Amino acid sequence: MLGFALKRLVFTLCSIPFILWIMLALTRLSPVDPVQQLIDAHDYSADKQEQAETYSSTAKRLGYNKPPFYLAVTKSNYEAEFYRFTYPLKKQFFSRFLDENYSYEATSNLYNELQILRSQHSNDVLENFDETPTASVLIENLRTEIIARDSIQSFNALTPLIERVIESKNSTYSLLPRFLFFGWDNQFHCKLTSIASLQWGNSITDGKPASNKIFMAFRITLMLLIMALIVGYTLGIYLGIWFHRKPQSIVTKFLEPLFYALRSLPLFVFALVLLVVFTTAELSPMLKIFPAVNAYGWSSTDSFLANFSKNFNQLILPTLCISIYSLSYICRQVKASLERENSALYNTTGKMKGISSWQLFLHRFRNIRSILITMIGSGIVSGFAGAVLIEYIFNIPGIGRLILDSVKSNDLVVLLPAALILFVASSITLLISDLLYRYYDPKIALNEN
Amino acid sequence: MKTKNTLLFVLFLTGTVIVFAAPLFFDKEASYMFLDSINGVSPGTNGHLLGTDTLGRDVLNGLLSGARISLIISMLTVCTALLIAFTLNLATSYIGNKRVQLNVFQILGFMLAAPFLYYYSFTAFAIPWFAKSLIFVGLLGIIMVILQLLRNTSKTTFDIPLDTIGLKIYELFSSVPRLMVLLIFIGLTPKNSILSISLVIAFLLWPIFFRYIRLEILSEKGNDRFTSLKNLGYSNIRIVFRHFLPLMLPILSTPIVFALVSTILIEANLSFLGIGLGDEYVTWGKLLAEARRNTSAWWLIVFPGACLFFVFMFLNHWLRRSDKLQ
Repeated sequence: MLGFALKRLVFTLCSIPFILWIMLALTRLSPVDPVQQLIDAHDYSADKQEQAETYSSTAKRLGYNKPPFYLAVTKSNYEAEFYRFTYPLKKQFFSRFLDENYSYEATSNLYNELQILRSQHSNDVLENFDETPTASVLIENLRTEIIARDSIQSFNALTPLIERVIESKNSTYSLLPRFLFFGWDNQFHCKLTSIASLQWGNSITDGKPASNKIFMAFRITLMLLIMALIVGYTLGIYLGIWFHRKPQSIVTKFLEPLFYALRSLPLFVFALVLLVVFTTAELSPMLKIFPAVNAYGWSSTDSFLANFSKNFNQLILPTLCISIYSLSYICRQVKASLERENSALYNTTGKMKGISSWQLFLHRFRNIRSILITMIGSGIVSGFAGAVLIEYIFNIPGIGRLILDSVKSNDLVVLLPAALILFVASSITLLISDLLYRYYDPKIALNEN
Repeated sequence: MKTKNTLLFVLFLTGTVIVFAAPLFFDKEASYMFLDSINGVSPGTNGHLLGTDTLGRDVLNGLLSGARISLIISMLTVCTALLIAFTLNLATSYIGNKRVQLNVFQILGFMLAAPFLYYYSFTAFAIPWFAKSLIFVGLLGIIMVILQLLRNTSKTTFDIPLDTIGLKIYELFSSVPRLMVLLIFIGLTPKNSILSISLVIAFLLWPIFFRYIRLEILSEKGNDRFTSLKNLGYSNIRIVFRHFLPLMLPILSTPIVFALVSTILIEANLSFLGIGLGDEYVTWGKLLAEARRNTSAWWLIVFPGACLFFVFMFLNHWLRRSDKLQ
């Protein structure tokens, strides 16, 4: 048992760099340019030259000018400096040509000439060349542009450059890959070392330390999760057993459809109704039980429990909302798995032996423990970041909301450590549930050996 | 009980006929046919039996023409999600932590081959993505054959913990922010069709099924029945589909019902991100989400919610029969 747990923990630790690599790769797939987004949000200027300067300095500050990884496997016409481009339009322009086997040198000559023309003559005319789909279409567009601007001498200088680009097309380029090595100074290595040495830096949106933000959010989510789990699963399992044992009672016939009806509404409707009914004095003077939602007080000097009791009354409504919404799922799963056990043969044997129906029920309940563990484990894992909507409606600064905000603003300084913490937390949850499987269900332990 | 079942079945049949016959009476632009210049009227006014939404479209008409799209999307999504979860489980937890062993040369060979696999299948040729994935599968098969040929080269072997790797994939998908996955899909999918939306939602939903299937596979593999089936010489495919699958259905019925219903609600949220269906389509989820713009419009919540509730109750009743072991 201990060896199994240790192996899994070591495996989790070893998989962290891999997970980080996947997350970084995913952020690079995203169509939004993080640097441009930050510039648009903070210091936007109309001047083209100034824009380019701001862009390169911002990219340098955020580390985007470095190559992405230790090595790259690319086509043979790619050069190492291609991976240091930070300006996305330049990158798009180049990759369009390079992917269709044109040479790097001819393409870069053409690009430089185009840039000079663009700064000398017109800013807007050559703009749409950055959005054409393929290299051949781009070349066609360039040619028509040259014919249209025949009067301007310097445009004719483009023609030999275009000819050279077309000549440089080589179909044998793509047969063997090229391995480019960038050394230690790359984005992945910097992120990995900063996360491993626990110096996560400051958030790029508001400048606060990332570790403070993450841990504050994580603790508040943990409080909410613990309360919702206790309320939801105690009530849910109890009611599920009730529904199973007394299917004909009035409680079952009333509550079961009610839960399904609540589940058929969107969560935001349910949450807003709860919020309005229980916190507005004008609307319902008798029902104003809970305080209005305001900022969460959290002092770092107090212990977890002291903070918990201080924020307890504000967490009641969100807890109720989450747990009532998930009640129908829990009840149905408990009932369905008990019914599955009900049709097993040991029930007949038990009845023939004459044991009471309560004891027979206990037999069934012991057999569904592993299903309950699975359900609770999945509930915890999805609950870490799953209550985003509730966090928005009740104004809770939880981890789901933090992650959503940092995805929106491309704040990798906060996003990557927060996602890794969620990964480790869900790993530990699943490890505990796997250990409990082995404790409660000997069949599972058996097939390991 | 018997009459109740028949009644439900007849109700379902009429519902299906209405839903799928709706395009015969209204066409794709049906939602614009009953357009009203006054936005968001309550039921009964101006001849709108169930009122209109914030754009002035008839709710009754939207419910009828939206039912088809909503139900097709949810069915497709759940089938795809189940397929992903099931295949991943077969490849990881069914094989287990100790069955696959590779020796030093096999591991080294795989590490050498991996960059080439990546290069030739994803970056080398400018071809559509399905052709790329075909190349990927083909090259992977060739690498597998080479690894098989290398199996006698060394005696030092290492276990490949496939079950743990499968769990890590699950953890990765539950810890990567969903919005990030959605934003990437915005960039990758060219056009918003029913198929692409189903794929996106299935990609978000498969972890729900993953662990229940895994639990059942783990516990059935420890059963004596598994050993005797193996000794009888039955193939793995037969064991999984004929003997494991019927046992899983009772546990999976709850997640399936809830996934079918929540897909209809999730689909509406995708429209806010720009990857949902366009405004020319009306779905139940979109009608419910319209209530966010007009919070006093109770008819936008009650009528689609009631439709969803009936689907819920019907599915529940229908799948409950599978809860009992045969």
